[in-house]
Amino acid sequence: MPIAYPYKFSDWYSYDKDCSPRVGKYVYDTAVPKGLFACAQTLTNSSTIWYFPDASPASGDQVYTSATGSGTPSAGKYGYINLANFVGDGEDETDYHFEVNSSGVLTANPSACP
Amino acid sequence: MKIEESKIKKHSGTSFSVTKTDGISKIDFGDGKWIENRDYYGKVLFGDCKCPGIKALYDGFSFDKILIGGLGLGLLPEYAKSVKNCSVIDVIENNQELIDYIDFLESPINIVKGDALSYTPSKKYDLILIDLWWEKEDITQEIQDNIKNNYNSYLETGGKIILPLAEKEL
Repeated sequence: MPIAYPYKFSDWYSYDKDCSPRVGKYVYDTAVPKGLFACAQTLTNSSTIWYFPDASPASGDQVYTSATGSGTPSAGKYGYINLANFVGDGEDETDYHFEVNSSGVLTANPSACP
Repeated sequence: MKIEESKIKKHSGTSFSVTKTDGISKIDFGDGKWIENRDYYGKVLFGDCKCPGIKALYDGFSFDKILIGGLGLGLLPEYAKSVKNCSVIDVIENNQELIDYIDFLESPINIVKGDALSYTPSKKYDLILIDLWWEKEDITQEIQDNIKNNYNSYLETGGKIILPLAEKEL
């Protein structure tokens, strides 16, 4: 809800003071039948980015297809590149696979690729 | 290596359906179990990928006679034929509707009706590759033990039983 001038102390205290930004990860956004097929897929700087609650997604986390949280991925198995491993040289490959349900929620902890 | 799309017909049956989207065939067994006609299928499961865990299973290993458990869309036997140049390619499949539908695989691919977990081969193989599951967690230790007991005596010297989804050689 927009805050009107003049600001009041109550406006300040009503802010979500422990909010944190979503973390974007480059994803292989083509659903695969088995998680391991989402591994070692080459991604680039222009690949799709999906947004996770933090850098280490876990079962039950909501995934969004936009930074503003306006969309969720379709149910399926996908892959992402761990942020720490992303170089951006055009040869980065997915190193985790994960599954989301029809609400875009992780059904289990993402798995490191074999 | 995938199946030539023109060979794959649309299908609506009792145990599976086959549809085409943007020129890519998809066989759907329901319950989230499906396979698309894509290059990665054979590459990954035969270790021809940047996937060290699976690739290691095939390191220094060559094979000519192969038994494949699970037919699917036929991508593994086709890869064994066209890329690996195997001279013997037997496939065990228990779904008669699927066996009847997959009519586009050619010699030396031979499809046998049977349960891949209990089938008794009539010959020995260099590689027995079982691909029946969608999740690694579905391959219990009991299943692995049973497969090993069932097939161990049907391996040529130096042969392997590989479960690529489990990243395991038994």
